[in-house]
Amino acid sequence: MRADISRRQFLGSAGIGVAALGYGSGFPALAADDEASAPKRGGVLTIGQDENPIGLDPHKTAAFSTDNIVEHIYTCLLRWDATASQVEPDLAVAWESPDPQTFVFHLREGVKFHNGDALASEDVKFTFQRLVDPATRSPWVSIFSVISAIETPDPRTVVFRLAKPFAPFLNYLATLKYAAIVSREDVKRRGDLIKGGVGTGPFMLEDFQPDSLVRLKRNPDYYELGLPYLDGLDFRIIPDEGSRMAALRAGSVQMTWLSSPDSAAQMRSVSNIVAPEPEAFSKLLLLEFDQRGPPFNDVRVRRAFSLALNRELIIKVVWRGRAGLAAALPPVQSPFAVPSGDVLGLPYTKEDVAAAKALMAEAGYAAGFDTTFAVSPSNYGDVQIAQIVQQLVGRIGIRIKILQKEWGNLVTDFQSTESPISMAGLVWGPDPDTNISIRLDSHSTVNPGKTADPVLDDMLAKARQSYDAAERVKLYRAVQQRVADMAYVITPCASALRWEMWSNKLQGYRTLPSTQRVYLRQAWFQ
Amino acid sequence: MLRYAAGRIVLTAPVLIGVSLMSFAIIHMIPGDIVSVLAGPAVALDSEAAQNIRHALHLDQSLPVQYGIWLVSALHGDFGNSLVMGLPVGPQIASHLPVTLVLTAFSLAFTILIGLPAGVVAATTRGRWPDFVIRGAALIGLSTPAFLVGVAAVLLVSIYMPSFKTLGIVDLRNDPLGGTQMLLLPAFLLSLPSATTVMRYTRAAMLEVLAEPYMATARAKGAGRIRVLIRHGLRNALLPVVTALGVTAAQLVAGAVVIEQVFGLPGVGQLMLNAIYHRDYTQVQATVLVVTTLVVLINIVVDLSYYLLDPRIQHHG
Repeated sequence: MRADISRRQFLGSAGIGVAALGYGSGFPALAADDEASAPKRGGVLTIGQDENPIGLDPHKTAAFSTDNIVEHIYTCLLRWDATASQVEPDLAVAWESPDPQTFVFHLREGVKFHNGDALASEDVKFTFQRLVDPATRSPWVSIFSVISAIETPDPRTVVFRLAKPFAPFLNYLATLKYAAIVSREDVKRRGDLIKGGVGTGPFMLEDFQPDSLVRLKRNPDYYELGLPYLDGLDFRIIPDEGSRMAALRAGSVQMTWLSSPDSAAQMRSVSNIVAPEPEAFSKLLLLEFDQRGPPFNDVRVRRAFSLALNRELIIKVVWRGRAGLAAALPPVQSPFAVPSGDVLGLPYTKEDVAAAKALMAEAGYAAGFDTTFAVSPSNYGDVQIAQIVQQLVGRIGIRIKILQKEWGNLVTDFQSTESPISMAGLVWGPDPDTNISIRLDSHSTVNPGKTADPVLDDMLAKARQSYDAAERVKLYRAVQQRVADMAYVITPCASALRWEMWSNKLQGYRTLPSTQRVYLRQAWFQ
Repeated sequence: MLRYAAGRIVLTAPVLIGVSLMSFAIIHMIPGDIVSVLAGPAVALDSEAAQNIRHALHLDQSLPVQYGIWLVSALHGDFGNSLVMGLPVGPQIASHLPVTLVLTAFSLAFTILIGLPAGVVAATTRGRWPDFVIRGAALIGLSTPAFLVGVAAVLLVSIYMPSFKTLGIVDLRNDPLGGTQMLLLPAFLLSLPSATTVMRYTRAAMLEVLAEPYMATARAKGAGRIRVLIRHGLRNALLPVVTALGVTAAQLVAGAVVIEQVFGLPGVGQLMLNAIYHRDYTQVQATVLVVTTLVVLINIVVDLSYYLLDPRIQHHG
């Protein structure tokens, strides 16, 4: 049960965004059938929260547990729109980019922090200075180092100057995990925001009792007129998944999420609970090879490995169909990601044991070899998938020994490339660049497979610097094509991050594939 | 006896230092890195961001130096700040300890209230149906895991007894009565395995005592049946039972970790578990120390109670 928690931190830290850039199948129509009743004010929503937040400072950690709370307290310059396809104004009502390295933002009038202080351009400048200050120890130092200067010509205008063109910039600014705007005065007064601080979001902190309760109350001065409808949010911390299920059934909480599809399926049959099946697969499973030496430095071995897999079998057996095929980007990251339906058309992706055996022989491994596969039982399905992979590649002579590791331990293994094969899940970030560059760019300090491909580096750099959306789509599709062709990383499947569910008395809420619950700002009780 | 008690308390100092050294060594031996907890796997363990974190937390110093720094400040009563939260660990423990203490105390009470009478009844009705029923129930109590019974109990209670609140917020400081009520069910479930143990010890000890000639003598002198059972029987049977109680009390503290998890109780068990998962070294150190002190104290109380139960036992300390 604790394992889920660590897993979420891991997933969360891979960078979640409010949205994938528009996913083709359209939004799950969760808010569709409640049009009949009009929104009304009042009521406190109790949420069964799986994890105690490790502090409430939005700049100090990548942990999901912190994000789940602070996403209601703070807001950003921009946010993702309701279709989750592009950024829209939030604290900034308008922006322009006179040249690729300059962004000018015009702030909303009359925005107040929870303590009554007015939001000014100085606060925005301070926020980004704080993010790159080593003393803050933000995980995103390297991302925001791209900012070379911030100017505040007047209290309503902020000018960002970038050291080089950086296409993901706006997407990061719209994502709370990366760029929550804090108050300069508040931070100066408190020193840090671990115990909480004042933001500009729809809810404000009332009480924080570690391991028990985080209580937020309605911000009467929130800048979206009439919102939020709820008087408050009570996050009741209940780590055990079974207990959260019981609490939701009993009505002691009205909203929670689960990490196993089986538990979620059980809840679906309970009459007064809304438990939609997530339609977007935002968690991508990555199987990485140590490419620094034999046997996996040989592209033929990696291709053979890929050809020996039957990805559809994995989805059928482990996920009972509730997962999708994926290339190097999770399918939710449309239009950049190769759609699930086209994945088997990528090179070396469709099962072909004969071709795999031929490649093994060509590489000089006709007799096969022994290797180790590190995986953690913390995540639903991972060990099972490892076992299926073990059997499938066993057919071409690759004899795998599965090494089960505690989660924190596996993360280290994965990052430091300790085992020849390791597997972990990642969720999509605000931008297609977020995860893919980290994993595959040879300049990246987190490159689990130690991939070093100048051609790929070049493509990634181009995609990172291009502001032309259509060109970026083309470039990322080409990147995925190349990754599959060279079999740098195997992506057995993509699945949901977790299963959200709530009481049917709650109306107007909609889920996001990132499982950010920002739409609670427009939810109400019947 | 006072001298003995004082001696025992003085002797806990080396025990605690030993435990702190061991917990320090063990938690640092676990692979994994607090950096990956704070920054996540998207940040390399040797990147600038990671180094900022390590430097700020003094984790770039050697292990003996780290332990030395910790020990010196601990001796001054300063247990440092939580590495993950950045808050002092003392107040954290102080806010979590009451829940665990009340939970364990209630559990101990349930253990005695259930275990002792059940043991006496089972012994006196040996071989007849009450004995079988009690021993059967005990077997079930001993072999069902708390996390399973806990979840089932939450569900059943909330469906059939909606007025009895479970999984609510436990805030002993501001709402002692409501908080205490919330702890009753978890305390009861936590007590089941230990009540079973106590029952079995009581039954065995009582069976032995019941066969003693002085029991027959007491009855022959005209003392009532119940009086003989309690005054002459139970009192003499208590010695092994108290020993068992001491051991189970320590087990209750350990069992609290699981039950706190199931019921979402903000106790020391949760605190410690989170700290271990997050590799929050200072928090683990301080929490282990507090729990150890608790167990050592329980053992001292058990030792002293031997003397009270049977003055023939003399302590030469």
